[in-house]
Amino acid sequence: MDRINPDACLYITDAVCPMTFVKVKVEIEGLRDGQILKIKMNGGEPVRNVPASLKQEGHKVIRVIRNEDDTYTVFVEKGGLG
Amino acid sequence: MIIMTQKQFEEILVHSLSLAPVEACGLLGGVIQDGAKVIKKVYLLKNIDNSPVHFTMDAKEQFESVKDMRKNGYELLGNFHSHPVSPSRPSEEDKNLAFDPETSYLILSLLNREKPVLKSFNIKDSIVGEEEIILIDGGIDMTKTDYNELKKGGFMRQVQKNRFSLRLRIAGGNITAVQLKKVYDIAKKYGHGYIHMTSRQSIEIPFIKLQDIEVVKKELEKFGLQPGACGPRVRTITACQGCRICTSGLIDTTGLSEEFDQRYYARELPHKFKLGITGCRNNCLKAEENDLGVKGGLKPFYKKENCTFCGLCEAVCPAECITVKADENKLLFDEKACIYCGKCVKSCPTGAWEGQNGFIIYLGGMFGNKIAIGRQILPIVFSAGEVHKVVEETLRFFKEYGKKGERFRNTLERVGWDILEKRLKEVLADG
Repeated sequence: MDRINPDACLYITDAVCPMTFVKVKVEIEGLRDGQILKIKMNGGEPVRNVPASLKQEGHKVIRVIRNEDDTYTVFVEKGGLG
Repeated sequence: MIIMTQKQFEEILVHSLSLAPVEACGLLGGVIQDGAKVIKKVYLLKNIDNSPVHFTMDAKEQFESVKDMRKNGYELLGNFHSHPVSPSRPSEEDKNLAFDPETSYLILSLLNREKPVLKSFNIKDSIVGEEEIILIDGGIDMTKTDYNELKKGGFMRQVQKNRFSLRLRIAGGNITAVQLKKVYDIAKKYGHGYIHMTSRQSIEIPFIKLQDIEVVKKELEKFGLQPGACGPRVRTITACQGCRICTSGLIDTTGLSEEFDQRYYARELPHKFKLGITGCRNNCLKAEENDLGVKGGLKPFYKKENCTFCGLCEAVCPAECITVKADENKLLFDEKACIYCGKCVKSCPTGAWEGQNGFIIYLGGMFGNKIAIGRQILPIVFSAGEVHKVVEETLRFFKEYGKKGERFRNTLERVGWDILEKRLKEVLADG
């Protein structure tokens, strides 16, 4: 599998809903379309809700990796859903 | 509108029957309440004509009656006379003698003695208009009140004597703003100025007086509102907002609740029967609490050609029935473990998951004295038509097998789940 080189990284493992997505939204605003954001988030509610919200905003999740500590690393391409 | 008690009606009837074939006559005293004439006392008077076709009230008795009304704070609301052998309508003489357009002229016809007819008329310049008479049970004499009938009609007897909490018929927890305003008016005018929101999405207006019940019913009717059901029958249909409003909703719970209300509401059964509809797996409306609960579901279909193996569906699946092997471009889906939550479809960024919306049905839930969780014994169905078939057959089964006062779950445990399951599968197979 290709390695993905993110343009920015964000940790939201210390945030709870709805701040999880707020932080993502702020971060992604600083990027250009096509650039990639790497987000580390907790399992459970954040991983169920944040990617779904990204989809609604037109950003494309390109890879989700489950980490040993039950957190997830999500790579998202800004504006990737056109 | 005239409101009188059954007992007052009987007074007039007995008096008239005892004098027939001579016409009987009398006066009616009472009060005007919210535009309705509420009869408080019937005065039985002598007909000094002593004739089967005319009547003249005894002047002295009239005077005594009016004096008694004044003493009691009543108004002279009208008079009555009997027609021993003719229908209940004013004769030419009655019209000519009518002097006060505000007065009610009640005529009791004894033409058919088995079926006496009492009607009330207003007469102005010899033009006759009929006025409605509402007979109520007692008011004071409560011994004859049929509480079960009242309960069936949504009037719940309160701790306080002669007071009732009026339950409204509401489907899916929705009521229009105009109707709500009417509820507000009624609570202020006939209740204690507040409403109670029931545990199952209905509204009750407490402290309605027994004698106001009929008037309140009529007022509600003008706004398309009806009293609700209680007792051994299908109760208020409950529903969450569903896909018309909620972003998680997978089915149109509002539409289905209206259909349920139209088809099944207040249907007579061995015991209470609760129907509830929830739009998705989040289960805000708690489908499994109901005798029959419906839950929205989404059956997913995997389309490999669109998949980028990003792994998001695996991460969001609460049933852990998806495994993505990104290195091998492979996705494994254990369909048997799928709970139709639709999260894979909703989150997939590339449209590799598509879904068909459907209805998951739970049977035999109850949450009262005894608690039992509804069970799913059928596979997900995909049309409202199939849901109706299941509901109809389930109600038929309960009516057939249920003992009076036995909750549906207990009937199922006693008779056997397999019998219902077989019958439901048959009606669904019939196509």
